Amino acid sequence: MNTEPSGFKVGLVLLALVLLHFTVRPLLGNDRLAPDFLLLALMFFAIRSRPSNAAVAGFTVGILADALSPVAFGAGALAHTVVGYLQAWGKAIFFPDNLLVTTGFLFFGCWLRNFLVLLAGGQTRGAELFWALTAWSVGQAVTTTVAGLLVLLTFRRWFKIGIIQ
Amino acid sequence: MPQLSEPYSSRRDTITFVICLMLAVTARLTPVTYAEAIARAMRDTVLSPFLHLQDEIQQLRVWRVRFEEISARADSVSAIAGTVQGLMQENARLRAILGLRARMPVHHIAAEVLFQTQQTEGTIIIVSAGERDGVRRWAPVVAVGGLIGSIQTVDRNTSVVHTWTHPDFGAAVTALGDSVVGLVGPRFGAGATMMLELRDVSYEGEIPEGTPIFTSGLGGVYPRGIPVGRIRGVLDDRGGWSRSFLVEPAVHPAAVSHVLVLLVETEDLSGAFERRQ
Repeated sequence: MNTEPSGFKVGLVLLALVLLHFTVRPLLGNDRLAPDFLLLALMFFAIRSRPSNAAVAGFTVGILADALSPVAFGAGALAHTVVGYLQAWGKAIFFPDNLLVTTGFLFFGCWLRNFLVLLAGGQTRGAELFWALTAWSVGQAVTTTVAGLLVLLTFRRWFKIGIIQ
Repeated sequence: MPQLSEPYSSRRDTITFVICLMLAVTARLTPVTYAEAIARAMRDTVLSPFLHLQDEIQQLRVWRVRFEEISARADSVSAIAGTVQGLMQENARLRAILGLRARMPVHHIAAEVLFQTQQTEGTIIIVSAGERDGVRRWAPVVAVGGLIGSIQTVDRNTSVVHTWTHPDFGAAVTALGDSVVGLVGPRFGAGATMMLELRDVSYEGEIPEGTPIFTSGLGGVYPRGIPVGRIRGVLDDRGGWSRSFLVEPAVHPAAVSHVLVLLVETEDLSGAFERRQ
Protein backbone atom coordinates (compact mmCIF):
# COMPACT_ATOMS: atom_id res chain seq x y z
CA MET A 1 0.00 0.00 0.00
CA ASN A 2 1.29 3.42 -0.89
CA THR A 3 2.18 5.30 2.29
CA GLU A 4 3.82 8.31 0.68
CA PRO A 5 2.09 11.61 1.50
CA SER A 6 -0.28 12.48 -1.29
CA GLY A 7 -0.61 16.17 -2.02
CA PHE A 8 -3.62 15.58 -4.23
CA LYS A 9 -5.48 13.59 -1.59
CA VAL A 10 -4.64 16.08 1.13
CA GLY A 11 -5.80 18.84 -1.23
CA LEU A 12 -9.14 17.08 -1.51
CA VAL A 13 -9.41 16.98 2.27
CA LEU A 14 -8.65 20.71 2.46
CA LEU A 15 -11.27 21.44 -0.20
CA ALA A 16 -13.77 19.35 1.74
CA LEU A 17 -13.00 21.40 4.87
CA VAL A 18 -13.68 24.64 2.97
CA LEU A 19 -17.02 23.26 1.78
CA LEU A 20 -17.84 22.06 5.29
CA HIS A 21 -17.24 25.58 6.52
CA PHE A 22 -20.02 26.98 4.36
CA THR A 23 -22.42 24.04 4.52
CA VAL A 24 -22.18 22.20 7.82
CA ARG A 25 -20.91 24.94 10.12
CA PRO A 26 -24.02 27.14 9.87
CA LEU A 27 -26.00 24.15 11.13
CA LEU A 28 -23.84 23.60 14.20
CA GLY A 29 -25.34 26.36 16.31
CA ASN A 30 -23.39 29.11 18.02
CA ASP A 31 -20.94 30.75 15.59
CA ARG A 32 -18.51 31.52 18.37
CA LEU A 33 -18.22 27.89 19.46
CA ALA A 34 -18.64 26.01 16.19
CA PRO A 35 -15.39 24.58 14.77
CA ASP A 36 -13.71 26.78 12.19
CA PHE A 37 -13.12 24.47 9.24
CA LEU A 38 -11.54 27.24 7.16
CA LEU A 39 -8.89 27.83 9.81
CA LEU A 40 -8.44 24.08 10.11
CA ALA A 41 -7.74 23.84 6.38
CA LEU A 42 -5.24 26.68 6.69
CA MET A 43 -3.43 25.02 9.59
CA PHE A 44 -3.26 21.64 7.84
CA PHE A 45 -1.89 23.41 4.76
CA ALA A 46 0.61 25.39 6.87
CA ILE A 47 1.96 22.34 8.65
CA ARG A 48 2.77 20.83 5.26
CA SER A 49 4.14 23.99 3.63
CA ARG A 50 6.98 26.47 3.67
CA PRO A 51 6.42 29.49 5.94
CA SER A 52 6.18 31.83 2.95
CA ASN A 53 3.44 29.79 1.32
CA ALA A 54 1.64 29.45 4.65
CA ALA A 55 1.79 33.22 5.22
CA VAL A 56 0.31 33.91 1.77
CA ALA A 57 -2.39 31.30 2.35
CA GLY A 58 -3.09 32.80 5.76
CA PHE A 59 -3.43 36.28 4.32
CA THR A 60 -5.77 35.01 1.59
CA VAL A 61 -7.98 33.09 4.02
CA GLY A 62 -7.98 36.01 6.43
CA ILE A 63 -8.94 38.67 3.91
CA LEU A 64 -11.78 36.45 2.66
CA ALA A 65 -12.97 35.94 6.24
CA ASP A 66 -12.82 39.71 6.70
CA ALA A 67 -15.04 40.18 3.67
CA LEU A 68 -17.62 37.91 5.29
CA SER A 69 -17.49 39.68 8.67
CA PRO A 70 -16.45 43.25 7.91
CA VAL A 71 -16.47 44.51 11.50
CA ALA A 72 -12.74 45.18 11.48
CA PHE A 73 -11.50 44.71 7.94
CA GLY A 74 -7.89 43.48 7.92
CA ALA A 75 -7.92 42.02 11.43
CA GLY A 76 -8.62 38.54 10.12
CA ALA A 77 -5.93 38.87 7.45
CA LEU A 78 -3.39 39.88 10.08
CA ALA A 79 -4.36 37.07 12.44
CA HIS A 80 -4.45 34.33 9.81
CA THR A 81 -1.11 35.47 8.32
CA VAL A 82 0.57 35.20 11.71
CA VAL A 83 -1.04 31.86 12.52
CA GLY A 84 -0.18 30.39 9.11
CA TYR A 85 3.43 31.52 9.32
CA LEU A 86 3.90 30.34 12.90
CA GLN A 87 2.36 26.95 12.16
CA ALA A 88 4.72 26.40 9.24
CA TRP A 89 7.68 27.75 11.16
CA GLY A 90 6.88 25.75 14.27
CA LYS A 91 6.86 22.44 12.45
CA ALA A 92 10.58 22.77 11.88
CA ILE A 93 11.15 23.00 15.64
CA PHE A 94 8.62 20.46 16.90
CA PHE A 95 7.51 17.12 15.50
CA PRO A 96 4.56 17.72 13.20
CA ASP A 97 3.96 14.01 12.60
CA ASN A 98 3.12 13.47 16.26
CA LEU A 99 -0.58 13.52 17.06
CA LEU A 100 -0.16 15.15 20.47
CA VAL A 101 2.01 17.92 19.09
CA THR A 102 -0.41 18.46 16.23
CA THR A 103 -3.25 18.69 18.75
CA GLY A 104 -1.36 21.45 20.54
CA PHE A 105 -0.72 23.19 17.22
CA LEU A 106 -4.40 23.19 16.35
CA PHE A 107 -5.59 24.39 19.75
CA PHE A 108 -3.01 27.13 20.07
CA GLY A 109 -3.46 28.22 16.45
CA CYS A 110 -7.21 28.67 16.84
CA TRP A 111 -6.95 30.49 20.14
CA LEU A 112 -4.17 32.74 18.82
CA ARG A 113 -6.23 33.57 15.73
CA ASN A 114 -9.18 34.62 17.88
CA PHE A 115 -6.91 36.60 20.20
CA LEU A 116 -5.31 38.49 17.30
CA VAL A 117 -8.66 39.17 15.62
CA LEU A 118 -10.06 40.63 18.83
CA LEU A 119 -6.88 42.57 19.52
CA ALA A 120 -6.55 43.97 16.00
CA GLY A 121 -10.28 44.64 15.83
CA GLY A 122 -10.00 46.89 18.85
CA GLN A 123 -13.74 46.96 19.47
CA THR A 124 -13.91 44.52 22.38
CA ARG A 125 -12.67 45.68 25.75
CA GLY A 126 -12.83 44.99 29.45
CA ALA A 127 -14.96 42.16 30.73
CA GLU A 128 -16.28 41.39 27.27
CA LEU A 129 -12.72 40.86 25.98
CA PHE A 130 -11.90 38.71 28.99
CA TRP A 131 -14.87 36.42 28.35
CA ALA A 132 -14.19 36.33 24.63
CA LEU A 133 -10.63 35.14 25.26
CA THR A 134 -11.27 32.75 28.12
CA ALA A 135 -14.65 31.28 27.26
CA TRP A 136 -15.59 31.69 23.61
CA SER A 137 -12.10 31.47 22.13
CA VAL A 138 -11.11 28.51 24.27
CA GLY A 139 -14.41 26.82 23.47
CA GLN A 140 -13.93 27.30 19.75
CA ALA A 141 -10.31 26.14 20.02
CA VAL A 142 -11.53 22.93 21.67
CA THR A 143 -14.22 22.23 19.06
CA THR A 144 -11.85 23.08 16.21
CA THR A 145 -9.15 20.83 17.67
CA VAL A 146 -11.59 17.96 18.10
CA ALA A 147 -12.77 18.39 14.50
CA GLY A 148 -9.14 18.51 13.37
CA LEU A 149 -8.29 15.33 15.26
CA LEU A 150 -11.25 13.55 13.70
CA VAL A 151 -10.04 14.59 10.26
CA LEU A 152 -6.47 13.53 11.06
CA LEU A 153 -7.51 10.17 12.47
CA THR A 154 -9.80 9.53 9.52
CA PHE A 155 -7.15 10.44 6.95
CA ARG A 156 -4.10 9.52 9.01
CA ARG A 157 -2.47 7.59 6.22
CA TRP A 158 -2.70 10.56 3.86
CA PHE A 159 -1.44 13.03 6.46
CA LYS A 160 1.28 10.64 7.70
CA ILE A 161 0.48 11.26 11.36
CA GLY A 162 1.74 8.97 14.11
CA ILE A 163 -0.11 8.47 17.41
CA ILE A 164 2.77 9.04 19.87
CA GLN A 165 6.46 8.89 19.01
CA MET B 1 4.75 14.91 7.00
CA PRO B 2 7.63 16.34 4.97
CA GLN B 3 10.22 18.36 6.83
CA LEU B 4 11.73 21.56 5.55
CA SER B 5 15.06 21.14 3.87
CA GLU B 6 16.37 23.96 6.04
CA PRO B 7 15.81 24.21 9.79
CA TYR B 8 13.48 27.16 10.34
CA SER B 9 12.80 29.57 7.55
CA SER B 10 14.73 31.27 4.79
CA ARG B 11 15.06 34.96 4.05
CA ARG B 12 12.45 34.53 1.33
CA ASP B 13 10.00 33.17 3.90
CA THR B 14 10.65 36.10 6.22
CA ILE B 15 10.27 38.68 3.47
CA THR B 16 7.04 37.09 2.25
CA PHE B 17 5.70 37.03 5.80
CA VAL B 18 6.54 40.70 6.33
CA ILE B 19 4.89 41.66 3.02
CA CYS B 20 1.73 39.77 3.99
CA LEU B 21 1.75 41.44 7.40
CA MET B 22 2.10 44.86 5.81
CA LEU B 23 -0.76 44.15 3.44
CA ALA B 24 -2.91 43.04 6.36
CA VAL B 25 -2.06 46.15 8.37
CA THR B 26 -2.80 48.28 5.31
CA ALA B 27 -6.17 46.57 4.98
CA ARG B 28 -6.84 47.21 8.65
CA LEU B 29 -5.99 50.90 8.30
CA THR B 30 -8.00 51.33 5.11
CA PRO B 31 -10.86 53.82 5.57
CA VAL B 32 -14.19 52.12 6.20
CA THR B 33 -15.66 53.26 2.88
CA TYR B 34 -12.89 51.64 0.86
CA ALA B 35 -12.77 48.57 3.09
CA GLU B 36 -16.48 48.00 2.59
CA ALA B 37 -16.09 48.43 -1.15
CA ILE B 38 -13.30 45.84 -1.21
CA ALA B 39 -15.29 43.46 0.97
CA ARG B 40 -18.35 43.92 -1.23
CA ALA B 41 -16.31 43.23 -4.36
CA MET B 42 -14.99 39.99 -2.83
CA ARG B 43 -18.48 38.92 -1.73
CA ASP B 44 -19.80 39.57 -5.23
CA THR B 45 -17.00 37.67 -6.96
CA VAL B 46 -14.81 35.04 -5.32
CA LEU B 47 -17.09 34.47 -2.32
CA SER B 48 -20.32 34.59 -4.28
CA PRO B 49 -20.53 30.80 -4.90
CA PHE B 50 -19.86 30.09 -1.23
CA LEU B 51 -22.47 32.60 -0.07
CA HIS B 52 -24.92 31.16 -2.56
CA LEU B 53 -24.16 27.69 -1.22
CA GLN B 54 -24.64 28.92 2.32
CA ASP B 55 -27.94 30.56 1.39
CA GLU B 56 -29.10 27.29 -0.17
CA ILE B 57 -28.16 25.44 3.01
CA GLN B 58 -30.17 27.94 5.05
CA GLN B 59 -33.11 27.37 2.70
CA LEU B 60 -32.70 23.62 3.08
CA ARG B 61 -32.71 24.10 6.82
CA VAL B 62 -36.04 25.92 6.66
CA TRP B 63 -37.47 23.33 4.30
CA ARG B 64 -36.24 20.58 6.58
CA VAL B 65 -37.95 22.26 9.51
CA ARG B 66 -41.22 22.46 7.59
CA PHE B 67 -40.92 18.90 6.33
CA GLU B 68 -40.24 17.58 9.81
CA GLU B 69 -43.13 19.57 11.13
CA ILE B 70 -45.45 17.82 8.70
CA SER B 71 -43.91 14.47 9.54
CA ALA B 72 -44.21 15.17 13.21
CA ARG B 73 -47.91 15.91 12.87
CA ALA B 74 -48.36 12.41 11.59
CA ASP B 75 -46.77 11.03 14.73
CA SER B 76 -48.35 10.88 18.10
CA VAL B 77 -48.77 14.03 20.18
CA SER B 78 -46.45 12.71 22.82
CA ALA B 79 -43.69 12.17 20.29
CA ILE B 80 -44.12 15.73 19.09
CA ALA B 81 -43.93 17.09 22.60
CA GLY B 82 -40.84 15.09 23.38
CA THR B 83 -38.70 15.61 20.32
CA VAL B 84 -39.56 18.66 18.30
CA GLN B 85 -39.54 21.45 20.79
CA GLY B 86 -36.77 23.16 18.86
CA LEU B 87 -38.69 22.80 15.64
CA MET B 88 -41.77 24.26 17.22
CA GLN B 89 -39.77 27.27 18.38
CA GLU B 90 -38.39 27.74 14.89
CA ASN B 91 -41.89 27.39 13.52
CA ALA B 92 -43.17 29.95 15.98
CA ARG B 93 -40.51 32.39 14.85
CA LEU B 94 -41.43 31.86 11.21
CA ARG B 95 -45.11 32.31 11.98
CA ALA B 96 -44.35 35.47 13.90
CA ILE B 97 -42.38 36.96 11.02
CA LEU B 98 -45.20 36.01 8.63
CA GLY B 99 -47.67 37.74 10.93
CA LEU B 100 -45.53 40.85 11.02
CA ARG B 101 -45.30 40.82 7.23
CA ALA B 102 -49.06 40.71 6.99
CA ARG B 103 -49.44 43.68 9.34
CA MET B 104 -46.64 45.75 7.86
CA PRO B 105 -48.30 48.59 5.91
CA VAL B 106 -45.23 49.49 3.87
CA HIS B 107 -43.22 47.86 1.12
CA HIS B 108 -40.61 45.54 2.59
CA ILE B 109 -38.34 42.57 1.86
CA ALA B 110 -38.06 39.47 4.05
CA ALA B 111 -34.50 38.24 4.52
CA GLU B 112 -32.60 35.57 6.38
CA VAL B 113 -29.71 36.34 8.69
CA LEU B 114 -26.56 34.68 7.38
CA PHE B 115 -24.01 33.35 9.82
CA GLN B 116 -20.63 34.98 10.33
CA THR B 117 -17.31 33.24 10.28
CA GLN B 118 -15.32 35.12 12.88
CA GLN B 119 -15.70 36.10 16.50
CA THR B 120 -17.20 39.46 15.77
CA GLU B 121 -18.80 41.59 18.40
CA GLY B 122 -22.38 41.26 17.26
CA THR B 123 -22.40 44.80 15.94
CA ILE B 124 -23.27 43.76 12.42
CA ILE B 125 -25.26 41.05 10.71
CA ILE B 126 -25.40 40.04 7.08
CA VAL B 127 -28.81 39.43 5.54
CA SER B 128 -29.78 37.59 2.36
CA ALA B 129 -31.31 40.54 0.52
CA GLY B 130 -29.40 42.96 -1.62
CA GLU B 131 -29.44 45.35 -4.50
CA ARG B 132 -31.41 43.00 -6.75
CA ASP B 133 -34.20 42.97 -4.15
CA GLY B 134 -34.38 46.75 -4.06
CA VAL B 135 -32.54 47.18 -0.77
CA ARG B 136 -30.88 50.57 -0.35
CA ARG B 137 -28.46 52.04 2.17
CA TRP B 138 -29.97 53.24 5.46
CA ALA B 139 -33.08 51.10 4.96
CA PRO B 140 -34.47 50.22 8.43
CA VAL B 141 -34.28 46.57 9.47
CA VAL B 142 -36.84 45.17 11.91
CA ALA B 143 -37.67 41.79 13.43
CA VAL B 144 -40.81 40.52 15.10
CA GLY B 145 -40.00 42.23 18.40
CA GLY B 146 -38.87 45.56 17.03
CA LEU B 147 -35.91 47.49 15.70
CA ILE B 148 -32.69 45.72 14.68
CA GLY B 149 -30.77 48.50 12.89
CA SER B 150 -30.22 49.84 9.40
CA ILE B 151 -28.57 48.75 6.18
CA GLN B 152 -24.99 49.98 5.93
CA THR B 153 -23.68 48.29 2.79
CA VAL B 154 -25.67 46.85 -0.08
CA ASP B 155 -24.23 44.06 -2.21
CA ARG B 156 -25.87 42.39 -5.15
CA ASN B 157 -27.40 39.55 -3.15
CA THR B 158 -26.62 40.42 0.47
CA SER B 159 -26.50 43.45 2.73
CA VAL B 160 -24.56 44.39 5.84
CA VAL B 161 -26.72 45.63 8.71
CA HIS B 162 -25.41 47.84 11.50
CA THR B 163 -27.40 46.68 14.50
CA TRP B 164 -28.26 48.74 17.54
CA THR B 165 -25.15 47.37 19.27
CA HIS B 166 -22.94 49.24 16.80
CA PRO B 167 -21.19 52.31 18.27
CA ASP B 168 -22.56 54.49 15.45
CA PHE B 169 -26.18 53.52 16.08
CA GLY B 170 -28.60 56.24 17.13
CA ALA B 171 -32.35 56.65 16.85
CA ALA B 172 -34.79 59.37 17.86
CA VAL B 173 -37.40 57.84 20.15
CA THR B 174 -40.53 58.70 22.02
CA ALA B 175 -42.39 57.30 25.01
CA LEU B 176 -45.57 57.92 26.99
CA GLY B 177 -47.34 59.26 23.96
CA ASP B 178 -45.07 62.04 22.83
CA SER B 179 -44.35 63.47 26.27
CA VAL B 180 -40.89 61.90 26.39
CA VAL B 181 -38.49 62.35 23.52
CA GLY B 182 -34.81 61.55 23.30
CA LEU B 183 -32.05 59.79 21.48
CA VAL B 184 -31.26 56.17 22.13
CA GLY B 185 -27.93 54.48 21.50
CA PRO B 186 -25.93 51.47 22.66
CA ARG B 187 -24.67 51.60 26.22
CA PHE B 188 -20.94 51.08 26.74
CA GLY B 189 -18.85 50.35 29.78
CA ALA B 190 -18.11 47.37 32.01
CA GLY B 191 -21.04 45.00 32.23
CA ALA B 192 -23.17 47.28 30.07
CA THR B 193 -23.17 45.36 26.83
CA MET B 194 -26.36 44.40 25.09
CA MET B 195 -28.30 47.27 26.65
CA LEU B 196 -29.40 50.63 25.29
CA GLU B 197 -29.23 54.08 26.79
CA LEU B 198 -31.87 56.80 26.39
CA ARG B 199 -29.92 60.03 26.70
CA ASP B 200 -30.61 63.65 27.54
CA VAL B 201 -34.28 63.37 28.34
CA SER B 202 -35.64 66.68 29.57
CA TYR B 203 -38.90 65.19 30.82
CA GLU B 204 -39.31 66.00 34.52
CA GLY B 205 -41.96 63.49 35.45
CA GLU B 206 -41.48 59.88 36.38
CA ILE B 207 -41.05 57.30 33.65
CA PRO B 208 -42.19 54.00 35.14
CA GLU B 209 -39.97 50.97 34.69
CA GLY B 210 -41.24 48.88 31.83
CA THR B 211 -42.42 51.83 29.78
CA PRO B 212 -42.03 50.94 26.10
CA ILE B 213 -40.18 53.34 23.81
CA PHE B 214 -40.70 53.64 20.08
CA THR B 215 -38.97 55.35 17.19
CA SER B 216 -40.33 58.85 16.71
CA GLY B 217 -39.70 59.17 12.99
CA LEU B 218 -37.35 62.12 13.41
CA GLY B 219 -34.17 61.96 11.39
CA GLY B 220 -35.72 60.25 8.42
CA VAL B 221 -34.03 56.86 8.82
CA TYR B 222 -36.47 54.97 11.03
CA PRO B 223 -40.23 55.25 10.52
CA ARG B 224 -42.34 56.18 13.51
CA GLY B 225 -43.70 53.48 15.80
CA ILE B 226 -41.07 50.73 15.75
CA PRO B 227 -40.53 49.29 19.26
CA VAL B 228 -36.99 49.90 20.49
CA GLY B 229 -37.10 48.64 24.06
CA ARG B 230 -38.36 49.21 27.58
CA ILE B 231 -37.17 51.52 30.33
CA ARG B 232 -35.29 49.60 33.02
CA GLY B 233 -34.16 52.42 35.33
CA VAL B 234 -32.55 55.84 35.69
CA LEU B 235 -28.85 55.99 34.83
CA ASP B 236 -27.96 59.61 35.36
CA ASP B 237 -29.71 62.71 36.70
CA ARG B 238 -27.85 65.89 35.76
CA GLY B 239 -29.13 68.29 38.36
CA GLY B 240 -32.68 68.03 37.16
CA TRP B 241 -31.81 69.37 33.71
CA SER B 242 -31.72 66.08 31.90
CA ARG B 243 -31.65 62.42 32.65
CA SER B 244 -30.50 59.22 31.03
CA PHE B 245 -32.27 55.90 31.25
CA LEU B 246 -31.22 52.29 30.88
CA VAL B 247 -33.26 50.59 28.18
CA GLU B 248 -33.70 46.88 27.69
CA PRO B 249 -33.77 46.28 23.91
CA ALA B 250 -36.94 44.95 22.36
CA VAL B 251 -35.07 42.40 20.31
CA HIS B 252 -31.51 41.11 20.33
CA PRO B 253 -29.71 40.62 17.00
CA ALA B 254 -28.24 37.29 18.12
CA ALA B 255 -31.74 35.86 18.65
CA VAL B 256 -32.99 36.73 15.18
CA SER B 257 -32.99 34.38 12.21
CA HIS B 258 -35.30 36.33 9.88
CA VAL B 259 -35.77 40.08 9.43
CA LEU B 260 -37.73 42.53 7.35
CA VAL B 261 -35.96 45.29 5.41
CA LEU B 262 -38.30 48.28 5.03
CA LEU B 263 -38.21 50.03 1.68
CA VAL B 264 -39.92 53.32 2.56
CA GLU B 265 -38.73 56.75 3.54
CA THR B 266 -41.09 57.48 6.43
CA GLU B 267 -44.34 55.99 7.62
CA ASP B 268 -46.14 55.41 10.88
CA LEU B 269 -45.77 51.73 11.78
CA SER B 270 -47.45 51.93 15.16
CA GLY B 271 -50.09 49.39 14.16
CA ALA B 272 -47.70 46.78 12.80
CA PHE B 273 -46.18 45.67 16.09
CA GLU B 274 -47.99 44.08 19.01
CA ARG B 275 -48.00 46.50 21.93
CA ARG B 276 -47.71 44.44 25.07
CA GLN B 277 -48.08 46.57 28.17
